[in-house]
Amino acid sequence: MRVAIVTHIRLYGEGLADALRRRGIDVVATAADKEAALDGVARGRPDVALVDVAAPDGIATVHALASEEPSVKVIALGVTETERDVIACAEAGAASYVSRDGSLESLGQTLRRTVDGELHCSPRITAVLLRRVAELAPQPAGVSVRLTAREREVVALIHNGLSNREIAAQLCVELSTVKNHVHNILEKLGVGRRTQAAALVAEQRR
Amino acid sequence: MIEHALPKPAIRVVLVALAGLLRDIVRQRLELEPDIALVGEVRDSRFLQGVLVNTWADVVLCTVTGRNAIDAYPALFADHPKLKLVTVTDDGRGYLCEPLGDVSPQSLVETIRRAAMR
Repeated sequence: MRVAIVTHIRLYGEGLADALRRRGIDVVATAADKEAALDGVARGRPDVALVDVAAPDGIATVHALASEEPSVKVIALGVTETERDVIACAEAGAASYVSRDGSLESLGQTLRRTVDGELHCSPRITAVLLRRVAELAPQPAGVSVRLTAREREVVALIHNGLSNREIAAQLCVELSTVKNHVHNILEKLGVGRRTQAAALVAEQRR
Repeated sequence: MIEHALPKPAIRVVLVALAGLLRDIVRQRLELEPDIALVGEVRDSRFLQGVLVNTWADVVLCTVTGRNAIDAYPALFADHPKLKLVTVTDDGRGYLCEPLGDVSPQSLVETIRRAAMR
């Protein structure tokens, strides 16, 4: 396996290179920034590039390598497994994500699995990625899905014949809040009266 | 007259580092050096006192950042006046210090040797 290491921190760069070489992994390039990474990858032809995304241009480096060197799998080396960082790396084209909290042993496993085309990551990262896919999935047809959970609640109460004041009391919110919800519901559904909105949503459910 | 060269005693190092890649990298590197013995590892300098009593360490190598990482040291030096501290963080506050971004594994080893000789 041929690996490139991209990090602005010398102790990580040289230390990881030493450690991986002792594990029989061929470290073909080390680089401290995006330009050097692109150059090193073009010359060294690694299977995998391990990119420290804590560097100021870390995410940009992931994106540049993923788009310009599609045959190279990019592993993002992050500080911690925060949702924002993991998603940013996935969107930039990273094939895998590891944090500095992990061991050299697990990094070695991630490198091998990534070369085989598998995603080797923590259960936490899996959860983050699945949540993100669900957020981005096209929503099923039907008007009610365009309403927020609270708006659907309000429509259901309108359908049950409650007045705005009664809805406010039931949901323990201000009357003005309910009026805002109703206004938004009418706008989203393109109807003029609250009873029309309730009928429309009830119709969709049948 | 025959002189027997006494074996040179190894520099006894305690590592302060969070679990993770950096700790693994530093540990592996120190294990390659014949004149350095890694005699203890803790994740927080608050746990050093107990380790130092039993290990007779010459040098503490601290890779943990932040104020808390350093606050424990004045008290430790009072109890262990010969102890040397090497940090790879920017907040060494007067101790032997090299910023993490610039230190190489080799220079880290050399810094430990220099610190032990002081």
